[in-house]
Amino acid sequence: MNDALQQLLRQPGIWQAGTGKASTGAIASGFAELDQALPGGGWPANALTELLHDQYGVGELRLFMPALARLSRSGRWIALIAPPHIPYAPALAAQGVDLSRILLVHPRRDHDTLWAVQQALRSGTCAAVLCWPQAINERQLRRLQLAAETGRTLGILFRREEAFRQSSPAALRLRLRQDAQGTVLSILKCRAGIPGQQLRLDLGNPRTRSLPMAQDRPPRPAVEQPERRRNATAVVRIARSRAGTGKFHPLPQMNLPLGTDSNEPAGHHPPRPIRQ
Amino acid sequence: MLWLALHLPLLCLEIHDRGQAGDHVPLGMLDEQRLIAVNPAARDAGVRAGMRPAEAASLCAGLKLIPRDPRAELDALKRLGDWGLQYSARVSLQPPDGLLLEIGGSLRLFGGLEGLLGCIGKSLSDLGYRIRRGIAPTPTAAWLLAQAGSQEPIRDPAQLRRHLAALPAVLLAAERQQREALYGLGLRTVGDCLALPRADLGRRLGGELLHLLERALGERPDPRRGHRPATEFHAELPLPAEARNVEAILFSLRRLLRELCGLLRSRVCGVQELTLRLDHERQPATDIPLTLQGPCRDPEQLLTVARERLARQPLAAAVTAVSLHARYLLPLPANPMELLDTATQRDAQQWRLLAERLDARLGENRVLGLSTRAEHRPERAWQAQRPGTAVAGQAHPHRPLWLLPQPRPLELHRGHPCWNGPLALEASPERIETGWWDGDDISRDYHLARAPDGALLWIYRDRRPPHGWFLHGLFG
Repeated sequence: MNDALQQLLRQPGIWQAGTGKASTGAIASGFAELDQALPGGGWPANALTELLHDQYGVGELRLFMPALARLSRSGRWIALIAPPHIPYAPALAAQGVDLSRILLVHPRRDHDTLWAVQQALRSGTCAAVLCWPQAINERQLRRLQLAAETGRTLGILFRREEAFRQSSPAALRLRLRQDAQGTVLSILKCRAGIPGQQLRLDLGNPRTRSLPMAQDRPPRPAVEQPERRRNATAVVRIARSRAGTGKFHPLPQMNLPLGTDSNEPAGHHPPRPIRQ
Repeated sequence: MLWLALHLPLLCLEIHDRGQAGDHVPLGMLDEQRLIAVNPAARDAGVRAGMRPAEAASLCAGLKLIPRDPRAELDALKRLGDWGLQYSARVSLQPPDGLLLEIGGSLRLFGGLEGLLGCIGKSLSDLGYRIRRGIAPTPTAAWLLAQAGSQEPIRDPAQLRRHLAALPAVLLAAERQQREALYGLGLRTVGDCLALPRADLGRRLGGELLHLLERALGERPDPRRGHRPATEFHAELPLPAEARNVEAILFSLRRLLRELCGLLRSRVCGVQELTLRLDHERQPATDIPLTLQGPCRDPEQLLTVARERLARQPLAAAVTAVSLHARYLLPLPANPMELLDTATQRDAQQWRLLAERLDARLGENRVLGLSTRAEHRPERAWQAQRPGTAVAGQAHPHRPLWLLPQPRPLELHRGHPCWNGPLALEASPERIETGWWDGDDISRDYHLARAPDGALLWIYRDRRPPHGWFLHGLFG
């Protein structure tokens, strides 16, 4: 009886909360705080991760970008399946993603989406599979989880927050929200780890800087750019943020008076009503 | 020199029969109102070659009689010649039902005679052909041995005479008169013929028979016309029983694909585009194009693509014949063998397999890659293209990760743009004004904007009247 129990517990698919690390390894997320909170020190490799968020544009992709940038240079592929908008190539390249390793899949029907995700997860040629399914039930999730294990692939599902009520075999479930102070990431479920943690992340500034970042250009006053008018293309940066670091995130909140071209650092303005 | 002769005694029947899995429909081959060959299902019902059609039909109610089609047989034989070139550089056809391969030069590559015969035997049974084979130092002797059904290979020319002597003399006779003459002279075996003086033998039985004998013994030159492989592939496989499910079609398709891949290996080529045609009884045929990411000559890979493609499209009606057409054979060098196992190479093939599977099931232009373009207009600064072909392009750190396919007009509330509530603009605007030369010019001021729900948006104000506000991207 006891032997049988021990035998059962030795199976790799069974884990006990609080006993050591997840057995499957991890992929560093690029955010030091997050890596610390996750068992194994990063995204669970060979498993599904669910990110629940209700809006697009809250940083749902930036959260994964450091990891994806590194994975895209590992020789395997990154599959984006049924993305809701166009994944914008110049921005991806700026995040350090190797675009020649991106596979963009647009299935026509939801049924095909899940099939494609399963194929991509199982094939073993993708390092990560990102998917935006419409509706997915627990049985289908389980199948995807198995496929991710088979193909040794990081599977990332983007779902709405209401999916929280549904039980899921995913190794990691996160909720991403923005509040007045910034980005809040809640760990809802975490295999072999401690769920219920809340983290504040600075998505624009990953703490670990081991990744190839976009080249920062020195700040340039906009008016002194006659040479940039080649080919009669006029792209004029009217004013840059103070620091000019090339990263947009830690920008001061400002209510810009529209219709006027202000060259002053806008952070010094008191909030003014916008006039048209 | 060592020649392998392949005799396909049932070729005329097999070209109609090999499309079906197992022998379910009894078939008989009809030539001049007499059955010349029957398949096992018909034989089980008591039908024998040589019967008249009425007699056969009375024995087996479901018997399907097919008139002989010499042209189709020759086509099939030519395709077998194409297939055979992967085992030997010298292949020659022996119409109507034979194939000769010079295998002396191929033995080493295939691991000796046993290895080569194993390869050829398995490949032929995969194609659905049954053969008799003969191996001898001269092509004619090999062919005589194959017809006699002698399995034992003769590799030593000195042994040739002894082995040939045991064969029945009828094999030498091409015509009925010669057969009667042989019978009249009491010549039962080739050995009996060889015992006679050559001049007399020639005078009595004709020079042709004598020449045949001399060629078999290697005493007379025996030039053979080499087979030249086809430049396209067209093959049709009739289905004796109509197929209503995909599996039955895939069975015949697998045989066609193996034949195709034999030709491709012979020519060191691959295919990228194929047309699969399904014939129906009373409807126009269905053409199904199969497209791959790159040239390929692996039958299993092609079959996977075909399977997904067939799963996408329901059959219009029961299928009576499957045909396969490949017009362009593209050069595809064989992978050089590497000392160390290269994961990258294996990986490269695997990803293609995945992309092709997805492509076949989801339809055209559903599996793409991404690339940047040197353009200032945001909607043109990217493009979708074949996966894996992107080159390192312009990175732009001030751009959102999501772009909307069409800029979405924003509502204005007291002159202030709103998206789930009033937007707070962050940072100073970036002006993009370009594109006058193609008439699609833009003049916009782009802003970062924070929505009340926390989403970071990329919006712009058109600098031309009516000065509308638009949402163009999301910082996902």
